[in-house]
Amino acid sequence: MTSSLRELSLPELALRLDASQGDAAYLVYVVPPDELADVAAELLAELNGTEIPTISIESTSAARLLHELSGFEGTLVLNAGGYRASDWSLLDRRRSDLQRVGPTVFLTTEESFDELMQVAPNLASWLGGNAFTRPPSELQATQISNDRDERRAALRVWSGMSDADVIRRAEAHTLPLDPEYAEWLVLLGRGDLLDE
Amino acid sequence: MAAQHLAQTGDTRPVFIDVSRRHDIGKMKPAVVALQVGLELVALARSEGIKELGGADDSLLNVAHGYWDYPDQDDYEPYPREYTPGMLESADPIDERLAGILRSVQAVIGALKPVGPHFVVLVDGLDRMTDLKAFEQVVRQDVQGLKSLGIGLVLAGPLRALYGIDRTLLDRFDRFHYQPWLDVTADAESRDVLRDLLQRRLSSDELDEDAREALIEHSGGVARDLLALAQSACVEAYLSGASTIGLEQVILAIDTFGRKHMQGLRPGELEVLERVRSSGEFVGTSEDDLGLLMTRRVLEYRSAQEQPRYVVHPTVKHFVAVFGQGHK
Repeated sequence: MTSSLRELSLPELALRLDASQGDAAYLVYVVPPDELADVAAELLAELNGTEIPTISIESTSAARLLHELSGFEGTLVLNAGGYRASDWSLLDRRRSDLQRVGPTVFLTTEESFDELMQVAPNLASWLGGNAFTRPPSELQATQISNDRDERRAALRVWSGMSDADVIRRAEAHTLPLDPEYAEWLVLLGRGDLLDE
Repeated sequence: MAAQHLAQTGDTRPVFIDVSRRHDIGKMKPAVVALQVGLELVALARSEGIKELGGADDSLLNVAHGYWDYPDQDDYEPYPREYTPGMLESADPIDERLAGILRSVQAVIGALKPVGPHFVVLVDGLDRMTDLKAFEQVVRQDVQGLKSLGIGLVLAGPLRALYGIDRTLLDRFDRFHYQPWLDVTADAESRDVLRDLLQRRLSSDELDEDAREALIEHSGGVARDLLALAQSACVEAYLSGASTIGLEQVILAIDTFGRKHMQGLRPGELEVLERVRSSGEFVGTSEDDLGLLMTRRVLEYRSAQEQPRYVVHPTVKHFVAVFGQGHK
């Protein structure tokens, strides 16, 4: 690889989709395979905070996607992480069926996008320069967030208490002194209670 | 020539037929020549305005091209019972369903005479076909069939058909026009064309001059890429709150486009790109080479006087150069 795709954060992608309302714009957003579902959910959350009508389709194949497409106007988020060369090739031949008003974003993986670029010249042409990837820092932030969620879940099991119980007992100065509780408060963003 | 000599005798009407035109001579059998003579005489009669032939014309056409056996009127079942294939077997046999479609199209064309004596149909979308064998079938069957009805067809065909052995397909067309990319580095007129294209969409208040020239330069003379770059630069300007599209936004759009254009390339393709970039040398015979042309990573410029000239797409030039330096 001699060059990577331009990095764009999810909020920036959402802004770009907002700016493309009313146009027939086609975008690709490349993320690691294990991030696809989370990114789709986060992007929908970003877009739902705006006035833009948005729908999301998670199709296992391009043939299914073509079957499910409707004349919807607004932003269309497609989880295409599982698409292989044959899927992109089908969309390339039937590109006209994808024609619609409003931006269409394909969420996919690097491997799948490489296949698109190899077998779907017409679809690639439609993309113009609209292919982006998620910055690693943002991915790391998500990973850290996921790790924190997992650790908190483990602490809940260990102690038999909920997040709210821990905060309430810390405020009441009845929290045991085990270091795990200090860690828990930090994970909850309530490190301030350690000083009390 | 012989037909012309016979015509000069005065009392003889020569009729010329090439029996291989309607029938595959590799499958020659008795009755085929007589049948074709009959068909040619029917055509002659019709051209002379003689329409009443006592059903002989239908009979000959049925035997030649096949027919459905319809039930008696008294029968309950209204559908045809049995199909008898025709005796004539063209070397390029027309699909049975297509033959039926062509008959219907012919009837519609006849009814449309008051609307337009001649129809020319512009067919888009076939340029996306990657299966050249399937494209050839469409040309052999549909195009030839529609042409025989007097319908003019203008097809946007796949670029792939221009190269290698598939080029023989072009012989089936009366005319062929190649639409090359505009050579914006060598031809001032080409730059003017693209400048005009941009000015119709973005005024000089919206797009500054340096930005416009950079867009034209980096489009490689491909109108579609020029518009894609301009569209991206517009979005960059909108998102950055700039009141006009300047060089900064255009450079960002060019970089983003180039990065996308570099994805999915195999090592061998990168080597070809580097060779084209550094020396302009492009063989264009292998499938990978042709793929680079189809995806516009390599651009071909043609002029009447000169040999084709090849360059890498301007948006990927420096990425390819970086690859080249790493492999010296």
